[in-house]
Amino acid sequence: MDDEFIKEFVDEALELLSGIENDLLSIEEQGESVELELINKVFRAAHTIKGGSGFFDLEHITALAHKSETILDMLRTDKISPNAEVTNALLTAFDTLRHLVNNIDRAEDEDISEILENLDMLATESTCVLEHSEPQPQTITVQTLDSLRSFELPASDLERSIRESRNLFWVNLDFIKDVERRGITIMALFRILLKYGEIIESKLDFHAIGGLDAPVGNVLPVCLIVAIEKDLEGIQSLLYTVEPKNIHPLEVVDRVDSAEHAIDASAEKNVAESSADNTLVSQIPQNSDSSSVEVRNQPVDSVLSQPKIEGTLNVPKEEVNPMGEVRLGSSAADETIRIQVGTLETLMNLAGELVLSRNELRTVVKNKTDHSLISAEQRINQVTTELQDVIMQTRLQPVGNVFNKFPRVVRDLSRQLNKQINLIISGKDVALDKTLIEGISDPLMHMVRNAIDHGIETVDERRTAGKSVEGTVRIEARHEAGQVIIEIADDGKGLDADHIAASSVKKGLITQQQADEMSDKDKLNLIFQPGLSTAEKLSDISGRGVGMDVVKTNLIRLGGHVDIQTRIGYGSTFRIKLPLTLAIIPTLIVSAGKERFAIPQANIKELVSIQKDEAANFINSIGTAQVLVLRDTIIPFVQFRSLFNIETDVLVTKRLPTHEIVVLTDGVNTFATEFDWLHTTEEVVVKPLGKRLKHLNEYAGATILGDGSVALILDSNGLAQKAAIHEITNNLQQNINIDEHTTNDDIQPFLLFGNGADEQFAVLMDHIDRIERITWNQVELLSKRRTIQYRGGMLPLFLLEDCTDVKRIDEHGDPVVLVSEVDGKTVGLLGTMPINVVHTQPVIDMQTHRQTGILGSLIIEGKTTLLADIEEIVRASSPSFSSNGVEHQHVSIHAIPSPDVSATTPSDGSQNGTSKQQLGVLLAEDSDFFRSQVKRFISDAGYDVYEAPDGEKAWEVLLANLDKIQMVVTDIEMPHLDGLGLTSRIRADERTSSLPIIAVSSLASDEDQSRGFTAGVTEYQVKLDRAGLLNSIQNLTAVYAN
Amino acid sequence: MEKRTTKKTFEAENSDGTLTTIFTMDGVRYGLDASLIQEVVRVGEITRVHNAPSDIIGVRNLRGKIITVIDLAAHLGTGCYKTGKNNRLILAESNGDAYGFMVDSVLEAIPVDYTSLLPATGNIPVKLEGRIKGLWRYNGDIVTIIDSKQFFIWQEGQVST
Repeated sequence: MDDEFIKEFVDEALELLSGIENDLLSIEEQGESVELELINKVFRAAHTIKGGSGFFDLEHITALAHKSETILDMLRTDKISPNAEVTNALLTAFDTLRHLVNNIDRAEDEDISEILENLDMLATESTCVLEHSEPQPQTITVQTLDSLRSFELPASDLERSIRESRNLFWVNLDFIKDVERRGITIMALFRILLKYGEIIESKLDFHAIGGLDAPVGNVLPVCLIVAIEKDLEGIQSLLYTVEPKNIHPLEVVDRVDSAEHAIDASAEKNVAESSADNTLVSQIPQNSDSSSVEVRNQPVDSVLSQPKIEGTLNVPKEEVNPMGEVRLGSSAADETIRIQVGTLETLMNLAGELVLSRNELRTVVKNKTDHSLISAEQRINQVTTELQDVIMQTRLQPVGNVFNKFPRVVRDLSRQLNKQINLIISGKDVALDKTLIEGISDPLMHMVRNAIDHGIETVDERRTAGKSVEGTVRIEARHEAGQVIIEIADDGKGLDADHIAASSVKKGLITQQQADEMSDKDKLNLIFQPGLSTAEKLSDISGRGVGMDVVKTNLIRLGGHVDIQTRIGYGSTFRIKLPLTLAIIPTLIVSAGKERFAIPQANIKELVSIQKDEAANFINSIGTAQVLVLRDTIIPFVQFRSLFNIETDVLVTKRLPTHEIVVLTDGVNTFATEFDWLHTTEEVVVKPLGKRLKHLNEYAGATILGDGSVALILDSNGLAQKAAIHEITNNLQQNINIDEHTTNDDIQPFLLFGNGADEQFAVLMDHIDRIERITWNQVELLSKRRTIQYRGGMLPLFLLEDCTDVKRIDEHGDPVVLVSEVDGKTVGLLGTMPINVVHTQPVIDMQTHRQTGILGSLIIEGKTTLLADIEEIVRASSPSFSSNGVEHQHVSIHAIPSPDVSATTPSDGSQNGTSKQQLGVLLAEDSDFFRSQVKRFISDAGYDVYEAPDGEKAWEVLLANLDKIQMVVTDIEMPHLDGLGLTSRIRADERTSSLPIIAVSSLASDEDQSRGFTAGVTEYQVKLDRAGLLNSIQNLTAVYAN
Repeated sequence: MEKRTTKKTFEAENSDGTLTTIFTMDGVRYGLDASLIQEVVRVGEITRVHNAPSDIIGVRNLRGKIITVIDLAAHLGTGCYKTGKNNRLILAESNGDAYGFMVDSVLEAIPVDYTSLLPATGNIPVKLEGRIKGLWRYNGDIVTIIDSKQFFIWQEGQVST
């Protein structure tokens, strides 16, 4: 038999086995009230494996699967209850099965007698009602209707079949002709049969293959005995590749006591294989599928059987049942296929090459004016990006692959440690790159073990502490801001920072003085130091002091971060942040001297540009070390050139107007370093460096840039090491207290800037693409329009005073340009330093200061701040600016006066003269600010917007305008009736059930999204992502118009 | 044009010896078993790798592959390469890694009968001596034939772990 087929069996079996552990645990947990379907699932898995192993003549696997099956059958017929003993036995059996399958070559050499005996004993003990002590007590003879062929089958299997009113068939198929040449696989065939019943016997006659009597190796007879809920016609159409006359119904003849016939008790055996002196042999004159001995010894039989086989070759195709074909086709061609990881890697590499070629092409085309060339380049660009995404997807695996191991671990450990633990797992579907999945498996396992061993208290301790006896360990994965968060939380005793510090001092890891100066957070971080274990006694579960440091190193190697939140007596949470993928990463290209480097954007905290003459205010020296003063924090400043021995060309560096500083973080340390130039951001394919350069930790790899040259990718962790930066053990780190509120939907980053003296302004950070510091003499006045030269072109500058009633810009201030995009054109808003970013939930007064260009006012850091709207300013200052023909009557939409507004109809409806039919969009959003923002850009795109401040109002508006509203855009969190409620209501009413619904939200986790989709949301969009939302409105319009 | 597939051209003539690529470093001729060499290319654009071992010049891109460029003279301990328009990279693979060895120029590839090599003299630098198979007299010149088995042994301090 071909290795390939065995491999297929192994893959299939392992896949089946992978879920079993958790199913068995659930069975145990559910106890007497166990769901029948769950047992059936495990039973089917065991059964499929048995079918396959029988086919490949793997007796040990067959026996083990069979005995497990017996126990499972007893479970489902309530002959035995799912107690711990039974589960243990089954777990061991399936563990062994997995081991055997994994080592398929040596499976037959392993000694599994003990496990088999154990299973037998279990079956015997619990079946005192049964008259037999053996699990497969007797056999029953069945025969074909014409009595030409008979089989002896285990009674237990037959009883089951009869109980489930299944019909018995003997399928005499030819592996080569009926399976292989039909392009299906034997396992697929088994799967089809198992949908409707079970395979009691599957046997391949190895010895007949290539035997002298076989017609030139083209026949591989397989004997299947199937018990199935189908009649003859049914099974014939299921197995349409098999000639109908080779499928025979079987009937029960007689009960035969196995003891009389000395039949091998280890497994069910085809009667034909019984010894020659067995009386039954005489009953089977036409035994073409029997052992080779028989074939050779009885040439007459072989001759007789051959015409039958040859005859099947001439079956006209017309005889194939089309119904059956459909059925088999749909089952065999599963939704997923297995693919070699190597193939995937190659595909990935090729996609990487394509990305590089695309970048190269882009560089070349940039200087061309040929439009067809440019549009071709854009198409290639788009396709490449999509291709890259899709291939990336193929590498993603659900984190459940790792999480599924935990229930077993938790169960075993909690028993061992005598703790009661409730394990909650969520977010199994969150997908991560294969490399990451493999990489986090061990660290996670370690942390889960830690949580159980060190975190959760014993039952007594918990009782004394007044906690519920059962501890809870929660493992959760979710998406957050383009990264994956995995949390491992327990409600145990929590981590005692002082205890950890004391322990570290005792072990000589830090001095008492250091400990005294440490913050609690720093003390907690000590658990990541090598050689520290907080457990009083070392146990075999965890805590040999070789744990958390390795965990941390491994996670950092994967580009991840880990941090701890803990409260004594209440528990601890370990939070791991991971990138989605490692192969293609967004980077910033920088240069120092003649060299270019790529810095992963995940490591970049901030870019700071400092004028040469101001450098002294920001860069200071402390002894030999340099530091950067960044707002109210001081961080290490590293001279990149000296660290890398890059020659400084004084003539060049002198001419540089600014210090371009990149603030980097490796998750622990934050430090700044200087480059000569910051170039573009680019998605790069990470290529490993050769072995002779691998030891240079400052490089994460290399990549090929658009011009074909190689740039090295910097590794911030390695840089920090190289620069000998150690963990900062004081509290000077930046303190942004937004974490507590991140769950709130409406938190937005605002960029603060100055303009006239003493006035503070803000814009939505999302609307700003770049911030450029300039000098006044860079500003040119051309035909009454201020511009600066920017990236080889002219950037039009707009001033607040151009159209708003604010103080003139302070000409003594340092000018700064906020670069944004309006109607596809790059524009700049001129403001003054200082600039700063704050995260806040906007409580915006949209009346007091409302005017064109100013959306309203809000209080930030105790100061009244005017919220500027670049789009309005640009349009108001330069009416001819817009070029795409979109009408802008809505530019000066009046702010919604108060939230109790019931509904407003579209302001004037006097939309353009285009023939396009006006599409009504219902907008439900409780925040006035967001509603006005979203409303404006939807109506700017030419839609009629009907708005409502909550779900209830939205429903009223919708009912009142049924004929006009063709689409709903709704926020999720709203008072009275939230977005999901509204969605459900719309879906439930037949007048509105077919409306497309777009849910908008600032940050939607996967769970939120799936909840939304369950409720009936058509699409999800980010709240202020204009382009995305408009795109989706347009797409849905197109789709629903058809 | 920039590739010279030396091996195939000479296979037919290779009746009496091992096809050997002859190149120069600092005016001295060297020979290396051509079967070790994948191709010979122009230097191209090399990106320096700062903090790398001293014999490593940098990395370059060859058809999407990152190649570690090594100064062969430094590798063999005879000095360092001389920049000129004839500089070439001799590409070879070891342990799955692609290397380009910088030499001053590549002359030709011809069959050399390794049994007729003369022993190295006693005054050859020790570092180099261990890597030499022998000396070959050719057209009045002496060609130092490098032992291909010793070629990929990195000097102390050059090996990373």
